[in-house]
Amino acid sequence: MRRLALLIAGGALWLILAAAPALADGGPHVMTVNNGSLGINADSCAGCHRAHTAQGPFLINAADETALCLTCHGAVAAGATTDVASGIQYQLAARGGTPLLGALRSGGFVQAAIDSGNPARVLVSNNLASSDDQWAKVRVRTDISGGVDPAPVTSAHLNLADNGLSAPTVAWGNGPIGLGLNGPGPTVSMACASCHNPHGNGQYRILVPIPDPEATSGTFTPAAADAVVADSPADNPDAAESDTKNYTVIQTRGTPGTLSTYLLYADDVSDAGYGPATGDYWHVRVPWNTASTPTTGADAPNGIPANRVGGFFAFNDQMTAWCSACHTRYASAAGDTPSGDELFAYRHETVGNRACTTCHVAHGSNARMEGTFSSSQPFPNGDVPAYDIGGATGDSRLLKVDNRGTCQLCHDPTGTVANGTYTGPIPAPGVP
Amino acid sequence: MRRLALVLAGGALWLILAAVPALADGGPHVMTQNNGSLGINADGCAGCHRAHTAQGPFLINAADETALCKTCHGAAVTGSTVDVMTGVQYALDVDGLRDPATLLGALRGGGYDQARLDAGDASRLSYLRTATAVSQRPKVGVGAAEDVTSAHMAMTENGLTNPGIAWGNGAVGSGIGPVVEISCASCHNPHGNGQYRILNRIPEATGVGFDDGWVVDVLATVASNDRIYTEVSHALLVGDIVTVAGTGTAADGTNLTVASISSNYFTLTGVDILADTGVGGAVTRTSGVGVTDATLPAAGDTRNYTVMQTKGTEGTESTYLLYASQVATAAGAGTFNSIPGDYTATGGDYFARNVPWNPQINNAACDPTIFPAPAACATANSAPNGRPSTFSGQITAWCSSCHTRYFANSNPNPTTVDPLDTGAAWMYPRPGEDIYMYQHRTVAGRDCLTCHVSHGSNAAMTGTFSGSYEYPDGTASASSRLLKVDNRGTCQACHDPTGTIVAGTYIGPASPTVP
Repeated sequence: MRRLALLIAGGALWLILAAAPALADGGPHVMTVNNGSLGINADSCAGCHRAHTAQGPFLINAADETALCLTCHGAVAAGATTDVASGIQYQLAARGGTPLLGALRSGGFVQAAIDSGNPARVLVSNNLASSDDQWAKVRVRTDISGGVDPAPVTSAHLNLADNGLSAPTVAWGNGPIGLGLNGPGPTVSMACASCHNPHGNGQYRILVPIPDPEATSGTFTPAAADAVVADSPADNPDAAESDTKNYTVIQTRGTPGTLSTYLLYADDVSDAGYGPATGDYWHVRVPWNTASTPTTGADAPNGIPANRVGGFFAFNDQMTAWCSACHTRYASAAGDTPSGDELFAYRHETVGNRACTTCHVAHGSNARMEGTFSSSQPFPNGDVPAYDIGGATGDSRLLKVDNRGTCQLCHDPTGTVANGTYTGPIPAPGVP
Repeated sequence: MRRLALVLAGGALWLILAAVPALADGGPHVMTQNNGSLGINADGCAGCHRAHTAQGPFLINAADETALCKTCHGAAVTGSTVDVMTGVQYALDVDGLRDPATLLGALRGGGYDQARLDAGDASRLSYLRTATAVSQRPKVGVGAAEDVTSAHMAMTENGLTNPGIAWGNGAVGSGIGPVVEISCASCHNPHGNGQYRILNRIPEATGVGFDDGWVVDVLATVASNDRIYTEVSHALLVGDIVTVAGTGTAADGTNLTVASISSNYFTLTGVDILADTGVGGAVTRTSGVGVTDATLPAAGDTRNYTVMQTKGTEGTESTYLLYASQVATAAGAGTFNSIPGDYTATGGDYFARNVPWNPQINNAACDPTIFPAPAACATANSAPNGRPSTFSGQITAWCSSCHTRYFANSNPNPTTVDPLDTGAAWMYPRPGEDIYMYQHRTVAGRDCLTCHVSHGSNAAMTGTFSGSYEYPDGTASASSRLLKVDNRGTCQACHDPTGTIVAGTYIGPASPTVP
């Protein structure tokens, strides 16, 4: 019996190692493989599905979608470079050990490495109308030796056993504008596949064009049209390098239309010599500490910072439209104009460099909400978080800075800070 | 189980105590937290704003600014010790909130719904100002809560219908002033800004034609001393930022800093006027120095917003009654800084023309019939910020940002063109003006807050004339105009136009006290 177990374990290890090349960027998630356009001979179905011995719905090889995803993308798995539980990306050859490539843009579902307590800000102008001119950076959280140091999350887009969260599962703001008709939004059941198409679809981060989680209470209203977020090419143009993408907060300003000038692939990051603790979670401008123009210096993890001819649309605009496919009533072009909705009456602008992903991460944040007001901030339905989040903190709402530092990265409502004043860690952080 | 309960109780107590500093004076209004200079992690934003579910403009968590302010500063709430609706300050409870059972005192600003000015029973002591001239020492004490008869904002609670005009705002000869809308944030910056009462450096109202930049015509520039003479007295303060245009001299420019002032001239830092000029040009104030505030109170304490104040030693803040904890202690002891008095919730002086209002109460040597009085009898200017030498000028400059043409001191003698030939604004008219022509001076001892409260007054204007007094636009009203005494008792607090009252005469309630 012991021999048999040894044999099985050895076989499993071989399968994993043998499969690794096929699990490069995209892994089993490559659209052209799974849609048959490269031939009706895809192997990857077998990576996740069982036709007759499935353990979960959709014939998946795990109890549920999220559990399946975590078999590769979890903290102690080795199937993918991206560990969405801990919020870090490994270099391709070293999954499960060092070296790290960097900290994930989206944070993590269990831990995240956002240095939320030490943001940096140069107040370019204390005029309220110039709030989007400020320079700001939120670094990667590190330990005393400079290593990436994820901390437990205080909010996440999924409640998991590992993060211990039990946040309301409301699709806040979903549904059309209405005077008291739609309330805070329907309660929904979420999983990884609510947002991502694991089969690949050519979208940035294989995001589903129309997220449509199942409503468990109320009615979820899906978007009427596809919310497209353009991706960079699945195949790295540099044939000598891996196709694995760069999912970290490390990015540089490139030349629109010249993909090689962006850090789109993991090997680009390694080749550039940027350490795993570099990068900017805030990414309002790239690089963070210089004046930038929307055409070149805007956030662009897909290499498309601005609209340009040829059917290219600014990343920020597409990303906000995508988030708004669920959080319909959060989209706003003017913060001082009433929406007509009873609950989501006035909304912060979500245009330009005030995209959803400017203030929020997608997966989970470790920002601490320990202040009197921040810790007791009610959800849109009026409920105040009463569940344990990890000490004296409230739900961080996927924000990137402790308490309401997210507001302060762009605003000085007192009008007392002189233009050009730097506030933050000393010495001021570098780039990217 | 008992241990567990003890641990839980201790934990709860810790949470309460830990929260207190965040709710100390300023609450969510502390500048250094909100401007990020103490770190980019302010909690206060979450107290009033919602990024996506705001109910009002500026992403606030209420239908409008005033409604938001009242969620903490209203009458039946506990978020702040300061109840601006009924005009009282409460003691701070151990949980950092209002202790609704313990009044600290009556608010200097009065209230929007009710106020406690003892407007019908003012005090006045006549004294010898010179060997032969008699002047008055007034006091308006604290009385029972009464409905207001005027307020800076018309509200459902007070039932007032204000004309909604920024009286006197605008250039000379521009009429009564523009129609405007104001809210709490017109005057206060709720984010904190280091200013006294978090007053905006320059208040802002919305309305067509409203202009919060003073414009004062320049009369002449003088090369020998770099002075720029203004046609009428200006309210500029050292440090104000101004624009000068049209003089044709080196003074013309923007973002210039006022270096020195006198009532009818000023100089600018770094500006060397090379030639005398005749009439021409104007100076516009673009940023004010504001109204200086005292040091923030310690954690667990709040400021003293009441009408109680004492004479202190300028530069030594501890000698002023700046904080609520000092008032509470003084109330129990019956003395503060060795000054005996009534520091209970009914103590204090709304008029605050001088501090103490009557030095004889604590010093028998201060006989009002003796001139000169002993040095120990000297009174001080009102200084709720602990700065008697500058408060009066600063607050008047601030009020005048909106009520531009209400600032008055000296106007030119209309019969000469000599810039030095000026006289009191009650004697010489404001040139080019047909409404705000002759005016009461608004300088130290007669600053705006000497006669008026800022929020609301319960003074009763029941007399034939006071009850039908015209606004500058000619509309009659019984509004008390934020004055502090019934009818025109405000005038009488300082004036005996009959010349019949002798020094030493006291009129008012029995057994007057200080402060």
